[in-house]
Amino acid sequence: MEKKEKNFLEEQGPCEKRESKGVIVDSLRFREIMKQFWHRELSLKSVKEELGIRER
Amino acid sequence: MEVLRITGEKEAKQSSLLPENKNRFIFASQNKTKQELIARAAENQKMVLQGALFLPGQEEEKLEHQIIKRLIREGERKKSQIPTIRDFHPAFYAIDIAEAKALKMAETYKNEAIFSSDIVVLCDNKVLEKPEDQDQALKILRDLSGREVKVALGMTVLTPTSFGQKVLLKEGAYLTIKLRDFSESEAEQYFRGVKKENCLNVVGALDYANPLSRDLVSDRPIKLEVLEFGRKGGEAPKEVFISPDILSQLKDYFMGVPSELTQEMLKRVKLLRKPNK
Repeated sequence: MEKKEKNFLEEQGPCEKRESKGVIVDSLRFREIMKQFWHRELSLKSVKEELGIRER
Repeated sequence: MEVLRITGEKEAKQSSLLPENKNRFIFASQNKTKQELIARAAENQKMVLQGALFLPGQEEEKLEHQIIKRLIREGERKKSQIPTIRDFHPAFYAIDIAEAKALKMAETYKNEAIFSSDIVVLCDNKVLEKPEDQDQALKILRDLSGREVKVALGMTVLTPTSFGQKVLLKEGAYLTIKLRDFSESEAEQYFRGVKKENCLNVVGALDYANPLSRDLVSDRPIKLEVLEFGRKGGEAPKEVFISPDILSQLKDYFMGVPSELTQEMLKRVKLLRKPNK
């Protein structure tokens, strides 16, 4: 682990102060972020492109 | 929720004779908690978990051991080459195991979408096993005191498509958790408070979903890295930091079937199986 990252993790204060430092403290917020992250605009064409399948 | 159980070869053959339902899939695991979590995600996507059993006559764990051995052999062979992120990121082991399970299942269930997931738990770069009994669970837990635990999870879906060929979707994520220093009596006290079967059911003997587990985890934020397959930037992981106070609500992540990702993958399966207009 890089030193900078280690310091960031070790120096975290109480939970309520963490959100501003980029730490998710609420499970609904976490779910929302993960939903956004994994969501992709889906069309068969885009999925095929992503998988490297050529359209005929 | 409709859950049709497939228990053997005969049922598998019959299932392929049923009118084809594009929204059905099979989940390759014997784990009841995982089955419940995946059935819930499927219900949200209006999909049907058709069968949730591993191959009859095949032991899931035996197959996993064979796969891990093969991966280690392959890893050693690669040492002389220039390493890639795949070579040192444990999430790929979990993905490879999930993939191998799905491929094994596909030998029997040829016309079905097969969903498979796996988790690999590491401490000091050593893979932790599932405890065989309560004594072993206690020993594993004692050894984890004050240490960093990494949980790699991998998910794959092997699905037939409307355009003829089968497609394999894969995703992976990686959690890093620091446990606090705890004594032997605290570990024993923890085991008295949690359901024994939950601890025996998980790798690393810690039932993360139980609120009591929070007390064994340090205040350091949990790091979640997600592997970005098919996105710009290739396979570089993206990081999110989570407060350990919401640990008990991340059960689906620790069981290897994160709800949001599962639903997203099922959406893609539906799309890939939808008849071409």
